[in-house]
Amino acid sequence: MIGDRIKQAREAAGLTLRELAALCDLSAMAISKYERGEISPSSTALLALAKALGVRTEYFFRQHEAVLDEVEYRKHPDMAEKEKSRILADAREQLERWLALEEFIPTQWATRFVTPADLPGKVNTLDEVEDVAMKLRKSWKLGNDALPALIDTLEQHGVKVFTTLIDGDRKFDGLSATANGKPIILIVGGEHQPGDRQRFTLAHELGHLVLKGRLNKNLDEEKACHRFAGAFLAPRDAVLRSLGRSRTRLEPMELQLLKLEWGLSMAGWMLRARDLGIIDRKEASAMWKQFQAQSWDRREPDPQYPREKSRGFEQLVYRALAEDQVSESKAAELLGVPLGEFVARRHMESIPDAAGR
Amino acid sequence: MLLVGDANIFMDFAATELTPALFRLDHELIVPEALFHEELASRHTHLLNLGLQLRAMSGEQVQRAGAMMAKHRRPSSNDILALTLASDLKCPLVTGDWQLRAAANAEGVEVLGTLALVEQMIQRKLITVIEAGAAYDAMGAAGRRLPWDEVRHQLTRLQDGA
Repeated sequence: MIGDRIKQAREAAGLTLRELAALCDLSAMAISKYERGEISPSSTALLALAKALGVRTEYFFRQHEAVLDEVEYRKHPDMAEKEKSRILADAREQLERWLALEEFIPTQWATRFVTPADLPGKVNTLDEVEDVAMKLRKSWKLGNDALPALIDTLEQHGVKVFTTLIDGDRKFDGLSATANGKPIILIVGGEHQPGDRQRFTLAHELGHLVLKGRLNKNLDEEKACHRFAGAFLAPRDAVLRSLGRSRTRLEPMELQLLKLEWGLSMAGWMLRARDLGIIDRKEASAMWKQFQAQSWDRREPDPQYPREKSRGFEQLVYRALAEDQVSESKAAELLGVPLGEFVARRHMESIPDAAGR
Repeated sequence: MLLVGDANIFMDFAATELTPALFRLDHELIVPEALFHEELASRHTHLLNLGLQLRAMSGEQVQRAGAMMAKHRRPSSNDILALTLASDLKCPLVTGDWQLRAAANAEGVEVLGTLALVEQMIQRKLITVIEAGAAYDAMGAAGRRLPWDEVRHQLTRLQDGA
């Protein structure tokens, strides 16, 4: 048990036995024996390992193990494998803390994620993907409106959303997976990710969860998920209403205003117009060239759409503490801070830093 | 007497002026080294100067603690290290954490809480009942969770006895 956890933490950090040994003044042989459960580390060794691996010793004793399956990434193709394992480790780590908290209080995640019964078993074209998005909106009773609190919407329907600060040198946007059988989406937080980009990732990953096993093999899953994302964020009727059925060209300022209303990027709106036949392909590619010329393909003009926050783990921990559902020591452990620090925080002696996700 | 503490107990006393008095009781107060380094070191190193002792735990002890954590999931892992140590040393565990107290009771380990320590301080004449009352007030003001009914009874009883 402890051994498996040491191994997991070491692999997540991308360290060999020797490298870890050098960091914590233990022999590679000893660490190898710990990992295989042949001997148990003393508390001194455990502390040294924890320090070298950037965890608290509590990590090695965790009772909840998060197993991630069916992982789908939204990333640049040449993102390093090492980054992948760091990201997965971060997702697992956060999940384990949720699972631990859920022993004390029921959380939103108790809702089971179900896809609507009327979804087609096979989806053959991108237009049919559009229909799937509409059916999901209908079954979730979202109407044709903008979804200002997308994370909340997803969490209410049983998809747990996490954020990570690891972005693999900006090559990673997000992933979807099932964790112990329940769907999760991990998105990148932090400065470089405007809200509309995060929202597109969320909707794209939702597409993976919903379209899983339904796509005709001739359809590219990534393209299908892109289409799903656009259709879910800005449904066809709303796009037709906002832009009109047929247009010669679109004004960037028009797209900017729509973006601020709908939380779908300017580029996203342009693609919606193209996919729904409002502008032709030639006009769309001319517009895209214009976007590139202004570097809007990298960062769209200000103001940026605000980022959403996932339902505060930290807030739930404080709530459980207030209701005597967890003790102070356990609350500190769940938040990964020393008890001495936590007590000071409770009395607001120091402003907690952004590390509390 | 040997006593094993968790981190919580020091938080109760940190709200008061009584921490030094804790170490003037005739006890050897020890905590697991991991608990000290992870929970207390960042803000409470002065406890070492007052006489707090750290105890490393062997691989076997760590393993036993791991098994105990699987059994008692509500206390924190460092709290369970303290419980394991108290159990191994066959000495009382000092804690104000109700989850840890429940686990200790289940393991047949004697528990001393904040009230018991304050009472000892009064009995040894390290503090007066009035000082004890002020200390409880300070703990209350700092949001510490104590059984306040028992606190009132204790103060009344000791006042009458004085």
